[in-house]
Amino acid sequence: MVTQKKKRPVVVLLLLISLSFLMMGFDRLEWLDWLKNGSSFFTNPIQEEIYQIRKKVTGWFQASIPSQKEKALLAEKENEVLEQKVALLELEQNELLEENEAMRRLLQVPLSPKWRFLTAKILNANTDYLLINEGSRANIKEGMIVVVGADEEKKRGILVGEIERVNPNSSIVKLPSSSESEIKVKTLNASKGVLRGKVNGEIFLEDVLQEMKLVEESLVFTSGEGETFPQGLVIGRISLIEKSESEIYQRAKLDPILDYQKLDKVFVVFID
Amino acid sequence: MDYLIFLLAIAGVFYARKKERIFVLAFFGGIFLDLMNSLLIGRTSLALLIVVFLAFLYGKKFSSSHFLFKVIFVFFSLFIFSLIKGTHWYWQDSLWLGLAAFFVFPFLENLLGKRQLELEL
Repeated sequence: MVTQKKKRPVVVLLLLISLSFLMMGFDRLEWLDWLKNGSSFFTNPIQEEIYQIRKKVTGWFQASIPSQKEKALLAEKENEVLEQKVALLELEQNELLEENEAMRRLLQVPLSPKWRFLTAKILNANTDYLLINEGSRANIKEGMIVVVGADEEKKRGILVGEIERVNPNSSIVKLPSSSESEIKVKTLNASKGVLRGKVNGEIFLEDVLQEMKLVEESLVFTSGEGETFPQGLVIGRISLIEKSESEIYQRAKLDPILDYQKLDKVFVVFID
Repeated sequence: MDYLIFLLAIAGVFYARKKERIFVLAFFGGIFLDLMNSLLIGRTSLALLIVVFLAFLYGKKFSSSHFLFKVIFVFFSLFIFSLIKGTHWYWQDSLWLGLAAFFVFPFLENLLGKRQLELEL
């Protein structure tokens, strides 16, 4: 009798572990979509509230002097917006310089596809992923790109990430700072490389040949190579160059233009 | 939210009488977190259940030991939790949780001790 009583917690635990495995299997087979669908009506608002509270709390800690808290937050926000604008203008200037070359080829190039945007709110964020409040019900599919500050005509913006997983009413966006992220990029002086996120949330520009010139503060944007990202989506600026003559490649640390933890809304891009 | 449920589950195993209830709570807490974070349903439950089971095993062995053991357990169990969940482990998070446990656990121990005394009287 006593042994039975002692064994009871273990039996309950084994049952629950089996149930967890079973639910994982069911979810992989998409048999639990009804549950996700139903629950999103109450989990999404809760997530949104928690995210806003977390952002406020972080803001309080960041501005140490209470009387200057508001000013500091405002200045920081203005600075961020200006930095984003400068980055886009810098890219535009570079593109104007290349315009002559591009114009020559224009007659042979087909019209670029049309961009449409869907606004989505952020429900949660960490260094690797964002959770947004739109999903397959809004026709979002895996592999779509997510931006902010988008310019529909110029097809330009600041890259937030790529849709990694889609649920009926929410989607997970993989950020460039994710350790699983790999984006082909180039700098303003046409140095090419691959952008990779690291475990601690830092971003590095890697696989850059030694003969290519990297400049600190230089803008880094998507090169358009590969299938996912179109050309010209700004990601960040080079902050530190790590070069060693004995290595084949050089690399550089990148400061993202966006603070991914402070975003309120983003735009999912539909390319027709 | 994840860490709050994580800490509550471990505290539950260390201090609650009916451990089965804590297992059930850990299971549903995990499902709730998976739904909130749009993750694979069942994965966080599994991670929580395994951590809670470890707490159950070692909590028995070290029941008479200092509460500091439990705080250290919280620190390292977050690593196991992250490993099973498939997310990155940040030692800073472990440190914060350990610190939270450092302040909360003695309070719980005190509360439990008083209740025990009341029952005996």
